[in-house]
Amino acid sequence: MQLSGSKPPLKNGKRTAADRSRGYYDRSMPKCRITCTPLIALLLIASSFTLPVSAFAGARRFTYVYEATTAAPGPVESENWITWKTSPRENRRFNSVDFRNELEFGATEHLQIGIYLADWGYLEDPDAHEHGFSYQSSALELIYNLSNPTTDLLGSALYAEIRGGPDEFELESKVILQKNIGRFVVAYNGTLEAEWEEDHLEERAGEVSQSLGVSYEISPTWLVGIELLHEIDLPDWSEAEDSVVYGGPNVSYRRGNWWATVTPLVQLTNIAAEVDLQTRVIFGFSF
Amino acid sequence: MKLRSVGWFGLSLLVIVGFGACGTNPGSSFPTAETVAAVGANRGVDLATLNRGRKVFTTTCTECHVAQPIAKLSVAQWQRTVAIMAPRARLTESDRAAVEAYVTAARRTVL
Repeated sequence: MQLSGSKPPLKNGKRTAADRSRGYYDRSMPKCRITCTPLIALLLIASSFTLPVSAFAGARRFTYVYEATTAAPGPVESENWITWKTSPRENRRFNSVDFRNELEFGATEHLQIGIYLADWGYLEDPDAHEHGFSYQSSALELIYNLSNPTTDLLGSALYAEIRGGPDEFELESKVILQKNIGRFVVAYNGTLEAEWEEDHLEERAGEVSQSLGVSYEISPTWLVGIELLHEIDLPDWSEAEDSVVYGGPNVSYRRGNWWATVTPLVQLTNIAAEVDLQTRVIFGFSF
Repeated sequence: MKLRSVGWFGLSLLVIVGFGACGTNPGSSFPTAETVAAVGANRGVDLATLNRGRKVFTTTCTECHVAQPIAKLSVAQWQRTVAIMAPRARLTESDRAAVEAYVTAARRTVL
C-alpha cells in the first residue's frame, strides 16, 4: 500500500475527486466545512430519532449493491451511511471515515427519489500530516423500477445520480438486475461514472464498476450474504487503470421501523494504490 | 481493458442471468388474477382488485422480506398475517383489502 509513501501529486495544489475516493484528502479544506457540516449532519441524524415513527422501513439487504425494487409512495426514510477505509498492510495509522445522510421516498409506484443531504468525511493520515473533517458533496438520486424480481423472469431498474460539491461534479448511472428465488435474493449492478473536478471542472475522469450481491433470509429479521465489488478507474477517459476487486460477507437486521446492514470488504486483488479494507454500515428509519 | 476484467464482467452477468432463467415459476408460486378467476377461486372479487393485491403483495411486501409462497399458509393464516403486516407496511385500507382478497383467492387456487 502506498498511501503515504507514494501519494499522487497534487493538481493545482488540491486533491482530485479520484484521489479523495481513494482516501487522499485535501488538507486545505475551509474550516467552516470542517466544523459545521458534522454538526448539521449530527442534528439530522438526531432528528430522525425524534420524529414519530410507525412503519417498517424499506430495508436494504446490501450496502454496496442496489436492489431493483423501489419504495412505495408515502413514507419517507432516512438512510445513514458510514464507510470506514483502512490499509493495515502498508499504513497502519491511515483511517478514512465517510458519512452520508440521505432521505428517500417513493414518488410513484416505480420511481424512487433519494436526496443525499451531505456526504462528508473524516481523515486521519499522520504520515501525510493530514487529518480532519471535510464536506464533500450533495446529490440527487433517481431509481426507476422496470420489472419485478419476484414475479418477472428478471427484476430490473435504472439508476441515475447527479452530484455536486465544492470541487467536483459527477454523473452516475447504473443498470440494476435482481432475482428473488425463495429466500435468496441475487442482485447485480453495472455502473458508469463521469466526474469533472478542480476549480473550473477542467479535469475529467471516469469509472466503470460492477457489483454482485447474494442474500439469504434466515428469518424475517436476520439476513446474511456476500457482496463483490469490481472497479476500474478511467483517468481522463483514456487507458484503464488496474482493476480492483473487493469481496466480503454482509449481515442485515430489521425490526419495527428500523434496519441496519453491515458489509466488510477485503481487497482480493493486490493494487497498492487502493485501500485494503473497507467496511460500510447503513442504518435506516422510516417516518 | 484487460481480459481479466472483461471475464469478470461476463461471469457476473452469467450468474445473474442464470439465476433468473433457472428461477422458480412465479406463475405457480404467485398465481395471476386471471388464473385465480379461471378456476373460480375469486368468489366474486373482480380482476382489478386481484391484480392490485398481487402487485402490492409482490412489491410493497418484498421491500422488507421475500414474498412467502402462497401455499405455505392456510387461508386463515394468511388473513391473520395480512392483518398484522398491513399496518407495518402502511398499506391503505383498499390495498390491505386487495392483498387479503388476492392471497385468500390464490390460496384456494394452489390447493
